[in-house]
Amino acid sequence: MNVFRKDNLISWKETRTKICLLASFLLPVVVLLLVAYKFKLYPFTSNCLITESMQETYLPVVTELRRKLFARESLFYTWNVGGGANFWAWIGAYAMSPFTLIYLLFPVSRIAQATEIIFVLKAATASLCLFLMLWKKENVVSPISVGLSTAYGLSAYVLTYSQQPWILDTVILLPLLILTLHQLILGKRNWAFAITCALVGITCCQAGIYMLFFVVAIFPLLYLQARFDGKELPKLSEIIKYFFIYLCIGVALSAIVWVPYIRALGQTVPGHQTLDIFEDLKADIKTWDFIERAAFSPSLIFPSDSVQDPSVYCGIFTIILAILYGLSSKIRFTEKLYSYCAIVVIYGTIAFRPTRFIMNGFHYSIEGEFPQTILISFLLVFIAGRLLSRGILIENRNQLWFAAGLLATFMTLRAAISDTASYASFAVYMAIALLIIYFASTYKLHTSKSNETPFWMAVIALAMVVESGLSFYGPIKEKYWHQVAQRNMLFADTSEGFELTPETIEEVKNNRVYQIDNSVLYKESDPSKTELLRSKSTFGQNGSFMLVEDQTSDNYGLLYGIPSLSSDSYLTPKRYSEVLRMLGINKNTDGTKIIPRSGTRITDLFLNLWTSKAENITAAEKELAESLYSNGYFLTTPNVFEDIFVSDDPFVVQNNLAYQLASVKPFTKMRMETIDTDNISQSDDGSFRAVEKDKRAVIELESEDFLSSINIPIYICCTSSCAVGIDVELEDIEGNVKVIDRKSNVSGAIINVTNGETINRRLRVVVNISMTDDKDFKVSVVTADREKLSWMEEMMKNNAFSITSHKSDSMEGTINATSSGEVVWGIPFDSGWSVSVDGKRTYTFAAYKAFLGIHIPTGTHEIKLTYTTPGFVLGACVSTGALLMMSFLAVMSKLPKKKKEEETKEEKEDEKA
Amino acid sequence: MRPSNKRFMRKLSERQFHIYSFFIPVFIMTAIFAILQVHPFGSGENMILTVDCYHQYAPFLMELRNKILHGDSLFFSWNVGMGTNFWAVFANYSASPLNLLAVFFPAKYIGDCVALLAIIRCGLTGLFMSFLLTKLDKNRKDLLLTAFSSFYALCGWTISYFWNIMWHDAVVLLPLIVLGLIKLMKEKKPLLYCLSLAICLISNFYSGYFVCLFLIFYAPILYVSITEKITLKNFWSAVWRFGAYSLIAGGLSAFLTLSTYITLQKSSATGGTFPKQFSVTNDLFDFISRFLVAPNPNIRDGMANVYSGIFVAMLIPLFFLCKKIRLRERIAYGVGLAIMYVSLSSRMMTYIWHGFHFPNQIPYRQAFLISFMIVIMGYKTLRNLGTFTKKELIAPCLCMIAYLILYEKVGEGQEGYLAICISFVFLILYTAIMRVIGERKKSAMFQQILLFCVLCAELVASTFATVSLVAAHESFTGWDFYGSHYDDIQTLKDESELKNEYGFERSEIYPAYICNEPALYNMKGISIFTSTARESFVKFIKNLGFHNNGINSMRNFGMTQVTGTLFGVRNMFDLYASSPIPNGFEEVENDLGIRHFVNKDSLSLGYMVDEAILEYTMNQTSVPFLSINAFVKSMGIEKDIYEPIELNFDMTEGVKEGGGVPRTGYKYSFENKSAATIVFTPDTEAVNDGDHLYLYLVSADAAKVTISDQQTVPFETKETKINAKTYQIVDLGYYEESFSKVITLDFNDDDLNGNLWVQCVRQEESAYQEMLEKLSDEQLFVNSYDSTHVEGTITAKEDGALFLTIPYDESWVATVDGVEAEILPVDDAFMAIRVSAGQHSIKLEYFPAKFGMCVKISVASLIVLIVFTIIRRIMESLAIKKRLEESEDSEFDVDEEEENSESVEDNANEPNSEVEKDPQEQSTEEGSESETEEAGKPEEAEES
Repeated sequence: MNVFRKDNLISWKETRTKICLLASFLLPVVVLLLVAYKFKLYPFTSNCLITESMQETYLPVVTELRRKLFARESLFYTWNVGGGANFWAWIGAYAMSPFTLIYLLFPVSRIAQATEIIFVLKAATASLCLFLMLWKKENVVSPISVGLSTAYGLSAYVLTYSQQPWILDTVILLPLLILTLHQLILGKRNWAFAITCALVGITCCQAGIYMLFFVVAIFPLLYLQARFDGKELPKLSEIIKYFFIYLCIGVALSAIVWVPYIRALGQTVPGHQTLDIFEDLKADIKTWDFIERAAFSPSLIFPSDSVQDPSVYCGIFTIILAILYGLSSKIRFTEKLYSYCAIVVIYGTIAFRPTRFIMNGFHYSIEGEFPQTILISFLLVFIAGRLLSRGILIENRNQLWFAAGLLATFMTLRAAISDTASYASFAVYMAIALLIIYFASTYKLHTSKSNETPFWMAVIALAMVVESGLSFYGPIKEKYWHQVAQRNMLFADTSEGFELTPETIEEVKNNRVYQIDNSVLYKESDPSKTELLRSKSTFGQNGSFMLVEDQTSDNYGLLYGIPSLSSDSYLTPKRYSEVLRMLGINKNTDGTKIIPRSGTRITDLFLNLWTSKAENITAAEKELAESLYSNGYFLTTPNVFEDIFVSDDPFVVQNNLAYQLASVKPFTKMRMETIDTDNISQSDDGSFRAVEKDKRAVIELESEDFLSSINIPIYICCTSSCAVGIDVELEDIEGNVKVIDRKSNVSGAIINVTNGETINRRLRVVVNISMTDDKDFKVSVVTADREKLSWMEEMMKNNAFSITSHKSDSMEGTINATSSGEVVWGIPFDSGWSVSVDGKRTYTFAAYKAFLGIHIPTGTHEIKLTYTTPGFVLGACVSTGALLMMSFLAVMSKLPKKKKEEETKEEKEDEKA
Repeated sequence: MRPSNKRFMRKLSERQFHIYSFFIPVFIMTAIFAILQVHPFGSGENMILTVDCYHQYAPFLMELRNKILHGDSLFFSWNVGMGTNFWAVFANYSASPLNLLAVFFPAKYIGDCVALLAIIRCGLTGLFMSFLLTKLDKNRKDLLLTAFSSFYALCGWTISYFWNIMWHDAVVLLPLIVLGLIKLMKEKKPLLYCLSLAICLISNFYSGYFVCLFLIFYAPILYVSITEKITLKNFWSAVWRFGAYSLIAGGLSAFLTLSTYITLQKSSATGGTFPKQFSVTNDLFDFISRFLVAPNPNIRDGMANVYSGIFVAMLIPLFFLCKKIRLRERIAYGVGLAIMYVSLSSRMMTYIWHGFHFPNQIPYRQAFLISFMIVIMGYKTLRNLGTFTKKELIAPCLCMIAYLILYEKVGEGQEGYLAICISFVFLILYTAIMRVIGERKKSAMFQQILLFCVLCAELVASTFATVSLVAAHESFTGWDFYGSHYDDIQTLKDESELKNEYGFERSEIYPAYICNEPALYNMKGISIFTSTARESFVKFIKNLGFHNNGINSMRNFGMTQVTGTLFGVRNMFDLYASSPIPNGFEEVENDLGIRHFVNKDSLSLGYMVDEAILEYTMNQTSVPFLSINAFVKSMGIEKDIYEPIELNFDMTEGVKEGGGVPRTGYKYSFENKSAATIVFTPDTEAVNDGDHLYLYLVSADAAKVTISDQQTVPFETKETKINAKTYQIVDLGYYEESFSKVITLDFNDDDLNGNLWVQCVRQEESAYQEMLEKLSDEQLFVNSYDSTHVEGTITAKEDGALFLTIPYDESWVATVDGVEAEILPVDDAFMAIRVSAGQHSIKLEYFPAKFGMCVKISVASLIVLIVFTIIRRIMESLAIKKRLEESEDSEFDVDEEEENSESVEDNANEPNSEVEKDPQEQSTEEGSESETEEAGKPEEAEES
């Protein structure tokens, strides 16, 4: 029985398409508005749900982009992150979506709200695009297709990646990609396919490989479908030819984005990852768990949803339709087999680490574990839409019983074996109620008279919309409250689960911590400080890179528009991060970020680094800021290729650096005696090791000699990958102990314990370590020679690169070289830098593995540094070529048609004559 | 074409699918060996010798080869464990007729021989299975017959244990035996059954035992399956024939099996206690995973290797639903399967199946039987696929997919993602094929070829993955090492023995990586590793400080100057020129690229000792040094050879001190589970310059021993590192006063636990010299010897015992001056003969105990079989004659005609038989294109 017979739908035939089109866009908006109302979010208050990558990376990047666009600065480079970074690559990774332009309409203080609006728009547009695909490809226009679109637009994937909105463009583009590919197969609008491909490459180049794989994999299915549907098709060879031509054009069109992105990625941790197939051949996700996540709404079953789990869910009814699709005799077996196999294969690419490595562009996922999960959600909706196009959902009751039985069996088994068995009874009742509604409605569609049909379809659609809303409500309630509670240390230990009891809810509400006020991001703590930060950041005054503790965002430099060393993105250059780590000024251990820690005078001067700790700048800090000169120096000791990283002791490395900069080694190791250890063994080279893992280890060191000088700068550093707490004490002859410093979680950081009362006292350092693995660690205590430091400062001042002018992608200045030698800048080495000395371009190299360096002859020289994003020119050329090629093909395709039309016209005229 | 050629071609065409059944497994195995670079393929760096094949099968195969080529007796071998009953070793390890191929392979190529044997066995398994399946399926032959035969040939057992050349024959012969059983039950022809079962038992009595046990419950299944109408008469007839001819087959093999059984009574292989409680070890849910494609090959432990094709496994539910198969047959096979499952999961049944003994590694050795049953059931179902609807055909595939999903989630088996993924891919393919079969739209030939291709792909995938996993887990042997320097060692060894005035000496090889290395190198040695080893001998040796497993194995690690001398070990050959040869052996120059060490003190095969040795009993709880002291004292030496010394412990880590004294050793207990270190030095007051020091360590975990001789002025350090085995004496070298000897014991393991004792001794040189003086002047001059005889003379100064360094065996007979002398056991481990003072001629003869009786049983069985066969032939002739006479008077009986025609059909050699075949079968055998039946066409039941 055909429930979509024309006579059933005649009453609203003329307007149904428009209404459905509108509904598919508006329903997600309405649902999200209701959710926002429930949680007191923008636009009902000024609060926004902004956490994780959104807060740390995305908002700073778009803020910087907005600032640069308004200031008409170059987009190639920015000084405001990681000591200087290839900003074009950052834009390519995070902000190439056309939706980003919306930010230009909002003031910077409302950028968080703009983000919320963009998210809603993206979800709604995804829904709309899916509806368009169902309409144009399958000719399905019905309430159920609206419901499907809403389910897709508000799928778990969209929710999960709500904090990584740069990935969400794939959700929008997937239906368009399939629709345009379908049209290409029919021989229409080939250019549309190329443009959609280009849009994918431009807006989400991270998703390039798996989207490419998906397009190639889905092509045979679309071809089969078109054939089975009896469409008139060009020759297969023609289709294949055009498919590959326009696919290549599409990919090439976006080269301007992805070529520079890939070049930049090569310098990062993901770019250095390698695949060991046999070592990595294991599935991280069990099939059962995956099905579980696909079959039921996260809100109904799971306490939270995160990027660490594959987010497959896109409506229970979608799953029911996907099952019925397999049972339908109206759809060819080959098509069904291919569709299901496609789902399985994509699941395989998600579950297995080696395939994930390949699909994510030959590295493991960077932000979001399983970004290609959307392909499965899409395929489920896709085959559900395919069933809708056949006109009937079920051919007999048995099919319905089978689907119901399958789901019931699954739910029963799930209750027995699932890992995530803790779910609220309310959620189960809701799931059962929805299932009953869906099955009852489908049954009624099968049995009812024709005039009742739209009603039951509307019931299904409504249930799907409600379900989508619930699927958003639950995770937001659970996930964000949980995170916010953690962030605000409301509950000391939330690792074992944050239970939402009436008491905790009340407590959270009272503290208003579940609402992240946008003012947190942009609070103006001290206007004078911000002003000083900004004034010092101008190169005309030898501006400094700033380090601000307690920053609200790791990429705060981008947020405030201040040159900074902090960098929280996978695009952080690995070498640079590692070298800073070895110098003792980067907390990050794996090369993925730069989390600056306070350094010594050597690193401060070399990197032009100024650290401000207080809310209000002190006089000493101000003095310190003004004592910085530049970020480039002529080396007094030539041969920068010499390895200064001969030890893992940061003081040894810094001494070596100082020797290169000023021919002095200011640090002297203080002789320390181990007076007590607990759970520690010591090896001959002076390193320590916790004997038993996961157990607290303590070591007490005492200086062998009494400290005789006044005001000796003393630095302490404990190189360890574990949490380290250090107590610094002074003990007099009579044994009286005075604690002069106490710091926690200072692994790898340098502690300056300069104290004025050190006469005839012993220094005692007590190190507490929470050892989680059995790596060795070292404790270094050094004193700095003041005279040597002064000499070093003098030498560096004489050899500094004096900046005369600067832009966001260039720098000019002069330097005096007493002999031929090397100039090294504290900025990351990048092949995009071109340096000219006295107008002549010179060879650049990576000094000390990570810094920009050049060789200059004796004398005073004018040096100009200019940055062009590596790969940009190549990418632009390829894109331009592709554009020309597409135009050429478009013209060529029109010519025969015109000729044919002219011939037909002539023939007609002849006939008339 | 000449008529004879035509006939040949026709016969070839008729048998082409049998030929394929042979060559497909052969080709797959060969290709996989080639891919894995097994010699002689590719770089040829690997051999398939692994696990016990490395230590036992290959050396014993070499020993068999040498015996055949040298015309030696198979009863006894001097090359295994100082001399052992080789008849039992032969029966247990190398009696397969196929092993005769080893004659054509030199020692260096023994690995190639084993690989070839494995390949041939796989081929033969496929061939014989195709015979059986043809018989079960009314002579229908097509590609699917080949595929199913190949599945049995490359079942989980085979591809996991392909290196196991001793039990493989049972897998090969089982289809022939069952074919013989069918002939016995249906046509009353006993020869095939009797002979194949006898060959199976002779090839390997142990796996033959599995087959016999299997036949006890499979014979009723077969009877129910093949009998048209069950009557009391034909039931008793079948029972009688089955019982009688099984006994005859057993009797035929008695000359080997019974005599071996008698030997095994003294070995450790028969030890064990029947479990008292019924318990199930295998979870059924996890057990099903063993049928997945490319399951993990379980060689040391784990569940049974029962894989026989996932498609075949999927057909099993359909077998029970197939209405074209008789209900009683379905029930019978169901019961059979249940019995087999219980056999694999119950400890009691495991005990029974493995010969009333719990196996040490290589679990569930009878697992091929379940594959055999499943292939037969699957094949029967395959021929009836046409009776199922499309949904019924697809349902098992979907169920299996659901199982995979559930298994991944909740399964606790060992199958990894390799098995799950490959199985999943094939399940998808089979689902599609089942649908094609169910729709019945495509031609039968298309269905058949499609299914055949995927089945072959599965075969290749599973075999390749499993064999590769075996290679990865157990590692294949490097071709270069195994049997290297064989000819050089033969030369040196023979030269040395020619020079030996006593005419008998033993040799050993370092490093002793291979347990039966002397057998491999055809040299008289002391090392042994065989299930047939006499337990009392191994226990005795264990207490002398040799590395051993306490059950059936010992190696030359731990040999000292004293034990080497006592057991006549004269030569030591060092293959790597870097092994820590025991001190006391002197290096002899040679230019053959290996190091040759000689123990000039080594004694002959026998020597006179005090009669007290006859009363000597080894104290099993004593440490080796004290045991050796006691043993030597029992020979009449007064002094203690080894004197315990005091130790100074400098540092201990990860252990807790438990006290102790030099005589009993120093006790420690492990505190740290993963690593422990003990550093000690001998007390300087307890040792003298030049003392030979030894160490013994009692611990469940082996230690790495570092011996460091340190001198301060001038600074010099000499360091030796020995990776000691458990239960072995470690030679610490000589003590020098100017050096301090620091010994470090490092223990590294995942699970260190229990206690350890450390004892050090010095060898009292004067006692050793006294021992030499006393024993060396009354040695046995061996005038001649071979595998079963030793002749020599001895001059005894006074009455005493002639101690023979030959493991005690009741099969030896001794004569002194032509008069039979009683052979007396020395602690049930060695032999001794009372000899009076004066010169005597000694003669020793070896003949396996009760071998004569066993041969008589075999001969009697053979006679009975011949008589039965003659009687049966006469009876048949009479019956035919009678029938011919009756046919002149009356119409030919229809039933008899059918039966007769069927029996004639089986004999394909008779061309006239084709005339009587039914048209369908005839067309099938003619091999025409049109004859190929639909893969899912229902079996044409005879009653229809």
